[in-house]
Amino acid sequence: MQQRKNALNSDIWSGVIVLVVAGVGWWESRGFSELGGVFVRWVVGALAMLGLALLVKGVVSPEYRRALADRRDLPAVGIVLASLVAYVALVPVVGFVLASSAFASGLAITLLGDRRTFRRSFIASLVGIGVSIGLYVVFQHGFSVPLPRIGLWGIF
Amino acid sequence: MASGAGESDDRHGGMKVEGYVEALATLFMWHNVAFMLLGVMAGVVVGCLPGLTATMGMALLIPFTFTMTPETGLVMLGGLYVGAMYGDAIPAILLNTPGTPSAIATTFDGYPLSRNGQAQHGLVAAAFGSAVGGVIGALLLLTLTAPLARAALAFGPPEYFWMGIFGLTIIATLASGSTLKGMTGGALGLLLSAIGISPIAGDMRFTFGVPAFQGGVELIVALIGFFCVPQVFQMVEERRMRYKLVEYKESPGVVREVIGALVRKPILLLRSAVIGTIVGIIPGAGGNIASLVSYNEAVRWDKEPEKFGKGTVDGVAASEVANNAVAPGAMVPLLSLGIPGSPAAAVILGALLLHGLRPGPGLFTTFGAVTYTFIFAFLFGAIAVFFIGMWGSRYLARWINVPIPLLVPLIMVITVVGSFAIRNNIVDVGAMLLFGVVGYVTMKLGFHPGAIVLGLILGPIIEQGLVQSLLMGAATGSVWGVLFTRPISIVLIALSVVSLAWPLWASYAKRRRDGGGASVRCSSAKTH
Repeated sequence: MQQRKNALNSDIWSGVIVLVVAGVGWWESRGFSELGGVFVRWVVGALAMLGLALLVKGVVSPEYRRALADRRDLPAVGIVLASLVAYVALVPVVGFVLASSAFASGLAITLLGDRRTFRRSFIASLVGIGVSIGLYVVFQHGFSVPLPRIGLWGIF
Repeated sequence: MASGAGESDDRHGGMKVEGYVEALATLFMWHNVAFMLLGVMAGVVVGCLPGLTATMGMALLIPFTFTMTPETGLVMLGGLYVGAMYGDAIPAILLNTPGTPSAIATTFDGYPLSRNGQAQHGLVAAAFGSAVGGVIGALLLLTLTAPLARAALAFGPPEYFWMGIFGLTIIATLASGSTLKGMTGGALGLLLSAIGISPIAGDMRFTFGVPAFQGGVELIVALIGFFCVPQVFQMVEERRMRYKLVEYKESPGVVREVIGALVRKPILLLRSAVIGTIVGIIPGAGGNIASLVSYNEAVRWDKEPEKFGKGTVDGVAASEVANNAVAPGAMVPLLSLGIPGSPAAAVILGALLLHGLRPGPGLFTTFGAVTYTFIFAFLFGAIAVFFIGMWGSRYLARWINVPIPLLVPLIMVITVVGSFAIRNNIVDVGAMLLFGVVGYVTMKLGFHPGAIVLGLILGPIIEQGLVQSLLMGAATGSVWGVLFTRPISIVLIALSVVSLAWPLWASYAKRRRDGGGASVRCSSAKTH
């Protein structure tokens, strides 16, 4: 019972989300032509039925799942997600190398947590910067795949 | 270059040999050999790192193959797949923690061997077993795929529609324990596949005004998002874990002793390889099922079943032969019919499409040389696994202790580069991130990201088959006749019903046995 207290009824949550997705799909598909919409309507119909089935299961025979094994991990997962969003937003602005170096080094140092020492942070920074430059060189010059750059010294 | 090999199959037996020789010549070009070995070594490292999987490793590798020739890129991916299937045995033997679920059965005897001071015996048995499984699986792949692909020539739109439905019913088994969630995941994938311009009518669907979505969801972006990002979040949750490897010293006589013991058991090796290949061919089943079934059969047929579980090389070999035969086995439905039966096969499909190769009969005619080179990569990759595993396991195992705080940002940087590099479009990176978050949330709710991706892949096959069948029905005056009365369609419908009913029945039977009621799970779903 204690275990269930900290867990989600995953069937109910899944059912609600699936029904919302099916609703959006149905709303958007109203203007589709017959041939262009037949597949979508079948899928939306199937999704609606599956969503309802999940809701019923959530009432009759629910499956409880803990979102995280340890609640202390929630901030770490949040930090990773937030830094990822910031990283993706920064890439076109400051270029791949600077954004990646800052992201990789900063996140690695943050995730070190209790084990953070100057030496480990220094190594994490070096690895982050080294890998960012390495990937840039490999893709830009090895594979001829242009990555976002800001023209720093005409290199990055 | 890209002609000949398979094209000649039907006409002259001699020409078939010529095609094989051409493919072998391509494979043994120095750069292809180098990339195959690099792929195998990277695969062993990926496999031995708990938290990383073959699927994730391949999804991360695809961006590096963009500008390679199809042969080189596919050979490297094949090498990584084969290497990862072996690499997961290293932590299973030295840590009692399987690198991927495929090596669960390897822990049963592998870790007891290490505890008995025979870690090297376990690692040699795993390397030899992996090579045997990979070679036999690749030989079966070589012989089974082309005839099956030729059979697909008899398929019309209704058959492709039902084949897609059959694939969809089978991916339901991918959800960890819930058929309902597996089917829902597949349906969500189908809806994702509808994004963009519809294939026949030309309607603009679900683009929400974003021009980058007009061409539909970029498969590689979805593969990276669904298979890498959730796994990275999972690693963040497990970042405090520490591993202590069993230390051992290598003895020169062990290699000969273990191989000698296993060579004297050809039935064990052959049975495990056949089980692995068959399980690999069946969509939805994976290396974990293959190794468990094979281990169970090894115990059942052995004259001294009591030795299993206490540390025997037979147990390690039974598991490793089977799970390594799964990799080539999973290529059979993919290369012949275009149906990826596992998340790893879905990634290979993404790589094939990226290089302009569409699975099906054409793969063995127009692109015969590339295809056979890829198949031979499985064969020779397995042999490379033997040598790398035999003498490199001890050193490669040290990667297990690479700190997670260092791995997480590096993997994320590679996912960003990979999704950007496809079309040089930052919108794809945003989409990858979105798919990753969706994959993580759905994984927490008990969905397997693989089910969503397979739905995404099967969507166009099903839609095209459905719409063309409806048009054929309208032309002939009987939609029913077109969709439900053709012989191959009837077989596929029957298979779909069976594959859908089987897990439902099994789940019902299990509930009755267990007495039903609510359950609590800690979500830690891993892809294969």
